[in-house]
Amino acid sequence: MIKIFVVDDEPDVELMFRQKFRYEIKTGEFSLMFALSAERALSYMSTLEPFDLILVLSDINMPGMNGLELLKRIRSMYPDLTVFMISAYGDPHNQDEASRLGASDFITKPVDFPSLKQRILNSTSR
Amino acid sequence: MNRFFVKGKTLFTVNYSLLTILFTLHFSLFTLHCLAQDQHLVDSLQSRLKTAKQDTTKAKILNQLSKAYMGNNPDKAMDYAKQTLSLSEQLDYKKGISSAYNSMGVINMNKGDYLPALELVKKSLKIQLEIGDKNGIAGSYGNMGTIYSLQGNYPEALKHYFAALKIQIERGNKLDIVHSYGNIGVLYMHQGNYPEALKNLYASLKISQEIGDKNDIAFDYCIIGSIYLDQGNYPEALKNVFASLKISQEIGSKSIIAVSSGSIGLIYQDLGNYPEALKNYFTALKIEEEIGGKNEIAVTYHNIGSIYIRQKKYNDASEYLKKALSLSKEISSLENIKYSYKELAVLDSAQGNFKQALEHYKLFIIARDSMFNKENIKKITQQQMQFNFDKKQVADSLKFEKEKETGALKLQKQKAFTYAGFAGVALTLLFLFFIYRGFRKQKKSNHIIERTNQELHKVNNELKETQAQLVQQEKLASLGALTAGIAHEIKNPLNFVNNFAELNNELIDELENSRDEVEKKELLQTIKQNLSKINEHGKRADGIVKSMLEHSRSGTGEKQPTDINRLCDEYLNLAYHGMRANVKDFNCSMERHFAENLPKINIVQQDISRVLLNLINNAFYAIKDKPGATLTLTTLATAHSVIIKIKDNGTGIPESVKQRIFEPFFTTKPTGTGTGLGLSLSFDIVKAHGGKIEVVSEEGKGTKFIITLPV
Repeated sequence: MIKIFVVDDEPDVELMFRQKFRYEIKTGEFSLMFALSAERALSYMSTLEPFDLILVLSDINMPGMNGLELLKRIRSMYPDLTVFMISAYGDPHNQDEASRLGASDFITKPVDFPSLKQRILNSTSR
Repeated sequence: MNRFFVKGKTLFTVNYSLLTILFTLHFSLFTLHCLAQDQHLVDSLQSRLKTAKQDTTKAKILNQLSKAYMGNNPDKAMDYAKQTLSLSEQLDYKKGISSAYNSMGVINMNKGDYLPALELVKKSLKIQLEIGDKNGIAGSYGNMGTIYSLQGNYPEALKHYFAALKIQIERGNKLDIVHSYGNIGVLYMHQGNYPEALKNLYASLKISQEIGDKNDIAFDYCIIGSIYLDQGNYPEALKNVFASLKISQEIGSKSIIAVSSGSIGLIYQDLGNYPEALKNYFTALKIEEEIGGKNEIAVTYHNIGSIYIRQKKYNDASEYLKKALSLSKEISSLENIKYSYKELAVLDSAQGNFKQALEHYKLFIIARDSMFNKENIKKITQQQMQFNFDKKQVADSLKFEKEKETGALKLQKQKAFTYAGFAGVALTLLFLFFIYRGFRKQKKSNHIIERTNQELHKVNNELKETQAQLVQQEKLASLGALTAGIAHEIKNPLNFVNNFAELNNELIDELENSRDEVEKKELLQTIKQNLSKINEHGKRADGIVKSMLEHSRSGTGEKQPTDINRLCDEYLNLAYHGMRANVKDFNCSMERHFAENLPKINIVQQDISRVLLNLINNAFYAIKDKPGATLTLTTLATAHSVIIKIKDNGTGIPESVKQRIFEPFFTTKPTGTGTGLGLSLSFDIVKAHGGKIEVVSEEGKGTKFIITLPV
């Protein structure tokens, strides 16, 4: 089972992801967790065991701590964790910054879910 | 010698000499773009001219050469303009013909020949209107504005300047906008409306710095300096005029060096430092004689004469004043003639030559009265315009006018005492003469007032139109900055709409294939939930588009009861996303302290939302480079009002800047980033709602804007 932690400030992202990945959830392929801000994500992660998490999927543009900052912190605390960044602004600056900070992939909104699934599978099978 | 009289004279000299020079100069700038004779440019034009065929290109080169020589060598300039004209006529090249007329007009203008200048520019305008040459039309309007202002016809001058500005704003031609603002500023300065004058000149300076045009920067500094001089603010005056001198020396612009030096002379004269004043006047004179501007030379002669009187070098004084008078007669400048006679009278009485003093004084009165038309128009324009823009300001200005008049009366009385000792009989005659003139004035003035009022009405309408355009421009500018934020805001809900709709399609397929009743029920619930999400996000997108339209819509909106908390929340988000999209790595924490039970208040939503947006954006800019940046948005209710506080922990506003932040066109943002209209419009909007904006700021600690709106 691939455990995915989605961080986004839009509450309806959870509803959408849970439906888009409903088969994967049903079959036990994926399990999803959600946080509405980077701060909450970090405090939630600190309560988890390292093996509980496999992949973090984070938005970049969020009020308060942004996704890139979150990525930086995750890198220092959990070096083995796979992190994907999502952003509506697919601008090269953000993308470069994300890969420099160690993001495994960069997803642009609107999210193409079949492709996202493929990318998740590729990066976790490695 | 009567000290009081002399002091009054000094002030007059300042006003008149600076302005005539400045007007002329700015006029040249308007068409020239570059006053300094750029030898490199001239050389390259000359070599291109040699190989040019008899076609429109050659006409263009000839006209460029004319312009290149205009500032420093009017004869050569005129020669090239005539060549341009004859070649263009041969080729039936309309644009060339109009350019040639325009150049010839400017050269005449620089020489002080206003009537032929006006005729030539009108000829140019006629052709430009025929061929629809908008840049040319704007240029001609501007030149006509300057000629009218030189003739003292301010309503016509303003009308033409604003007509020029309107076209320039439409075409976004920054250099010309710089000149129009400058011209309008100078006109206000001439009318003693210093705040308006400074406002327009700083607007001009800002744009000229933006485009890096050193000539204009130097020129703007020079006028700003003269405005401060008129207000008696000598440190600021010197600072600005020296800045002007430095830049004009750097670029070798003779005309501006001359004006700057002349201004420095006037400042030192006012400060009583006669040797320094004289030194600078002679510097100016040397250049003016080289360039050949008769009006400027006459003024400088006059100023030198005045200094010699104060230094009791009466022979030298007499020589220069007489030179000034004869040159002024040559160019029939009544204004110069008037002051020359007055100064000669001062000289005579200082030398004890009272009979001749009286003669000169009489001539001064005659010259002054024949100028009556011009001055009357000027005074009425000034009062009327201020009335239309700011009633409070007009009250001040009327008070000022009155004080000035009382002052002038005092001067006359004192003068009368001096004369009484020496020429009592002549004084009686003079007195009768005054009374006679007074009657005639009264009769004339009623007629003039009526005519002027009509003119004013027209000018005022055009002013209003231009103002409205500026406001609209500012709206569009801030809208542009927001577009990215709006794109983000609108993309998210649309994304949800698309995804939930897609999901529902899949879920309906599943529903059709399902046999399990429990599963069917669950699926139906999910579909319904998704539909309501689609609806919700659709409305969200709709709301964003609506507020965007409201934001950009011009004209007055209607007041409606509004939930201020909701408005604050919405615009904080919008501003935040706009900022995120425009400024790399921008982030901050945002705290919302919204009062519960805040009463709805009647406001024009799109206006107040603009205010919020402006203030929030400013706060974001103030904290953008600060670690731990926080913006706090607070709402409060008191018995009679709703208060919105926008607090940041950013750079803070220095005291010197704080006083100016609500002035139009004042901005501390890098050039091109802000219009400088945001806070001034915000201030007006809140004022129009019967509320107020206050600012509390500490440098390095942060700023708090407090908006109070009545319930």
